[in-house]
Amino acid sequence: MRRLFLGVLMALVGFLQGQTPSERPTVLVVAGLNPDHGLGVRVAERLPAAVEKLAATDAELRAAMERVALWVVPTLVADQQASADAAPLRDLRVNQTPVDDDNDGLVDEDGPEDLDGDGIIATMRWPDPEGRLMPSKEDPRLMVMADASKGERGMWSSTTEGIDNDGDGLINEDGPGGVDLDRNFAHGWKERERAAGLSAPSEPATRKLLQQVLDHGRVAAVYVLGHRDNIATTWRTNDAAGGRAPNGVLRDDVSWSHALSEEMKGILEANDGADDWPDGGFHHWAYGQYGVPAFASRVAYRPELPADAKFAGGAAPSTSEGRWLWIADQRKNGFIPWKRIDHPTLGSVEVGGFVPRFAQTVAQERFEAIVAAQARAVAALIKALPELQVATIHSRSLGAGVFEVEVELTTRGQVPLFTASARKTRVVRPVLLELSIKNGTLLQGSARQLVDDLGPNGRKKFSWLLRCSGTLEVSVSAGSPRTGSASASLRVEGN
Amino acid sequence: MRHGLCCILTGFVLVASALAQNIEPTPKARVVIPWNHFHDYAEMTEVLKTLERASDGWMRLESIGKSVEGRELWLATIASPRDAANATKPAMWIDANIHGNETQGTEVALYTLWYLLENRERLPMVRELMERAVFFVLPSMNPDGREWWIHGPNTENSSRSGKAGIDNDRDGLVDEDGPDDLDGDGSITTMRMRVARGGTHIIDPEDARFMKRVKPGEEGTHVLLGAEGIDNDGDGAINEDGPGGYDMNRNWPSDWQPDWIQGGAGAFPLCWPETQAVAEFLRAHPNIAALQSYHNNGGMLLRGPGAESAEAYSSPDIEVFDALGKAGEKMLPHYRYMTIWKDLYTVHGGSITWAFERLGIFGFTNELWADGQYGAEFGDQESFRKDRTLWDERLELGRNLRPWKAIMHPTYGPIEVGGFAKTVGRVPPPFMLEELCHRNMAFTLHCAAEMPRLSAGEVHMERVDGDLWKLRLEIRNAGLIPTIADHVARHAAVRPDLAQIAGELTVVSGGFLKGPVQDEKFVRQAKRPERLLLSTGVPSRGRVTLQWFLTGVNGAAPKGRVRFEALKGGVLEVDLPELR
Repeated sequence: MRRLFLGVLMALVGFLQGQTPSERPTVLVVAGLNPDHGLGVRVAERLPAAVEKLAATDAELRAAMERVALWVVPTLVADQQASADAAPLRDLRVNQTPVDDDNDGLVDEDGPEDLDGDGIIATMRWPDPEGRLMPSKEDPRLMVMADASKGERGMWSSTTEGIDNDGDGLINEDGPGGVDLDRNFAHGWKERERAAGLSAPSEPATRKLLQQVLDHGRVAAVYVLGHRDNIATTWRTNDAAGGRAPNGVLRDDVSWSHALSEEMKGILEANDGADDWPDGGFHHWAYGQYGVPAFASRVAYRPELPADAKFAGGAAPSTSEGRWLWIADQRKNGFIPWKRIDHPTLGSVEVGGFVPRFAQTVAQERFEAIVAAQARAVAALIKALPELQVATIHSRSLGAGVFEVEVELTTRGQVPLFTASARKTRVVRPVLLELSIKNGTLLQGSARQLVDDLGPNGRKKFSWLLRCSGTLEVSVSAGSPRTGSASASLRVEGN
Repeated sequence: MRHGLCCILTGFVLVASALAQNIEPTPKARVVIPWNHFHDYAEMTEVLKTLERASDGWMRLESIGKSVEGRELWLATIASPRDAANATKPAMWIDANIHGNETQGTEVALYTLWYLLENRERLPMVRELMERAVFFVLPSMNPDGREWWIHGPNTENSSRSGKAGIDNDRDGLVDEDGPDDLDGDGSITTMRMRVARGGTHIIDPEDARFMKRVKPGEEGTHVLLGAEGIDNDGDGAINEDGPGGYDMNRNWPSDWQPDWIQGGAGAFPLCWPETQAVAEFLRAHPNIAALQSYHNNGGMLLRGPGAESAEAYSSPDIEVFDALGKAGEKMLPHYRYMTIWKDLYTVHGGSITWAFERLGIFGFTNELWADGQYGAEFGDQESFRKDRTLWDERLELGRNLRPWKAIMHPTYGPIEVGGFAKTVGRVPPPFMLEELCHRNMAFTLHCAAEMPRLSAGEVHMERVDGDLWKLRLEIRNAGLIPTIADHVARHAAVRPDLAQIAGELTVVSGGFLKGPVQDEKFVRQAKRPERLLLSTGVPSRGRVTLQWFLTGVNGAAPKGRVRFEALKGGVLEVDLPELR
């Protein structure tokens, strides 16, 4: 156990110094891709100890951790965290790279302002005949898009709190920064959106992470804590044309990915799922191009409401936002009542709405429960990883000193040895199967061969023809850095 | 008196020698460079430094980064010395040799530098171009690959890669089994072996230097064993994991696709130091308005899109490419103007398509040297081989075709190696290299001359009534290339042109119009009219008209200045007319 903890500490240190962690197949956990998801960072920092604690009472996990390592990268935005957490409290997806978001030749010239001085960048709403928003039927404090097909007319507009700093008629269209690191990877990368970066990856932090994963060569699964989520909802299935990069899980990966996803969903009590189209996220790259199981969790899922929950107006919460509003009312925080103020260009506006990062604000007890649940989800991923085994090895004499040696390789674990994505992208190294003969010659078959598929049932036979005139001694080893290795040997007394 | 006479005589001598220079049919070059030679890295570096020293400050040499093996990525800038406007003048980017074996482009780039510097004083057309434009020239983007092709054993087709190690056969070893120059002649040719049975080829009865495949059912005397090499790593395969093994011209961010869709693309866009350094330079110099990349071979002037799935280019942009491409066909016999995906093949993540689609730089890839220049018709393989063989015999006196030579192969036993060396096919024969350089340079200078050339038309200011004035100013572009390509304008990828007015005045309203003036068609900018944003720029051989409604100070006429800034067209400043 101490070995595990030290290994992970070394991993945390190793990341900072550009070294790579242990020699075993590795589950990589990444948090802090965005500066405004501090909860993910705090949970990630607690994970190694939490997983270690679980292993104390879970024999299967303990056994898995003898051959699988855990590598935690708690944040990619350490240098930005203090300023991101400083007042005013605000959403902040992007890093500090200057970006001319509105393409007007001025950079970062129009960001939000705390107009009512409450230390929070909230929302502004104002009546607007060309607006597209209207008060929700659940509760008028919520603003929703009007549905023209139902004859609804939006008469409101909203944006984040602030003024038109550069006088171009737009408010807060070019704030400080930046690039969203969790949209800066190549799978599904949105070339034309400035927040996705000028290339995939373009930022030093993402380029470094990518290079470390590729150099490490043993990452067998990825788990991301942040704004993204592919657990609360089932992974969408790929429907891209053949020869194009997949936009979902490949058909042959559906069964294990759905099963694992369901298991994690139960552990985490994940809800409010939404589509997770590939758009440059790290976990999108990890599955779609690197070919390993990759999951992302929002971390702070919504607590369930009692069945009879109602708003003051009598309506029952029916949307995710509505439910969060009901929770905010119970907690007496999290939603700022709309309050009128004067705005320099818009005239009379109201400031209010959800407090940024409200979902992440959890009491200590709930935080501990979240840490424990995330540790169980990571444990499920560790236990699901494939374990390569040499199931059987035997020989058959064909006469004249000729033997057939046959070996069956199998894999144990929910996740196949190579996912369909890994076989397609061919980025991860195949398994190297080697036969060595002590005193004989190989007549037929390869002494070294590469294996990247054990078939749909996860088992495959390999055979060789040898000639040996004395005692037959052969040994077989199979392995790769990402899968670990297995070996077996055989000895048949001489004839 | 005598002093004055000396001056006059000296003057006569100077004028006489200058006149002599001008009437001399082939003046001696100030810097003499052999144009029938492929320069390796050391020689190229020496040429560049010599040109810089002799350039009177018109050329500046710098390194923009280092290759995988630590060679400098030399960048030469040609610009008027100490001219503050250089940072905003339209600039032309020229690069070559991104593929290691695509060698002759480097000579074209060096020739371009040399020719401009040699003729700056001699030819007014050259001087005028050098004064109003800047040239950024990167003679070799892949100096590691270049060095490997020139000095290492290769075919005409190998190796386009850089020298970062790639485990092509995924066996955990990197670059462990490349081709081997078994007969030590500097080229990788073909291996053949005489066999008693199962032969697939016979010696060609028409030309004993070649092998001919037998018909099915017939017995041959030989088998062909592929390119020269041995099984270095004992895995049963020969030459399956040579040096490198990637393609830097598939590594750029636009429509980048992973390796299984686009072979050689690298682990992620701009993953290599060479592509990263060039991308950073291009982004840092938004005044680059045109681009030329040199490759081989085939005799082509290529433009994007690179893939059918990529967004099609629009008519205004295609018209610019068409005009330049067709001009190129006239200047480069045997070269055809083509669209990459439609006329050649699909390329994901190519450099010139990224430069156009994200940076708005009109650019061509020239595939240097066409088969037709051997005098060959585009016939079948066999007639092409015959043409090439005649060429080798009669014009190059046997320089390229290696006769079959017996050697001992470690696993095959006695075999023979022979065939065409790497010096034929994709690279021109040395005696035709200078023409290739000059014609391609001339095409490039033609494109450079067509970069945006902005000028202000007349300023019209008139009183509307009372203290309200109307100001109109035309900005004209005499260049074929617009200040902002339609593609990047539609995607807001490049900063709009800016028209700013300031002085003793107040702006009441402002806007602009493209094309012929019609009062009601002005696009009014509602906010901050003193800083107009022209997202569509100034069109190809076209104009925009700026219009402001102004008041002056204390009832006087407005006084001040208009400043027009186009990233790819430079800066114009125009004073308001002095009126009472």
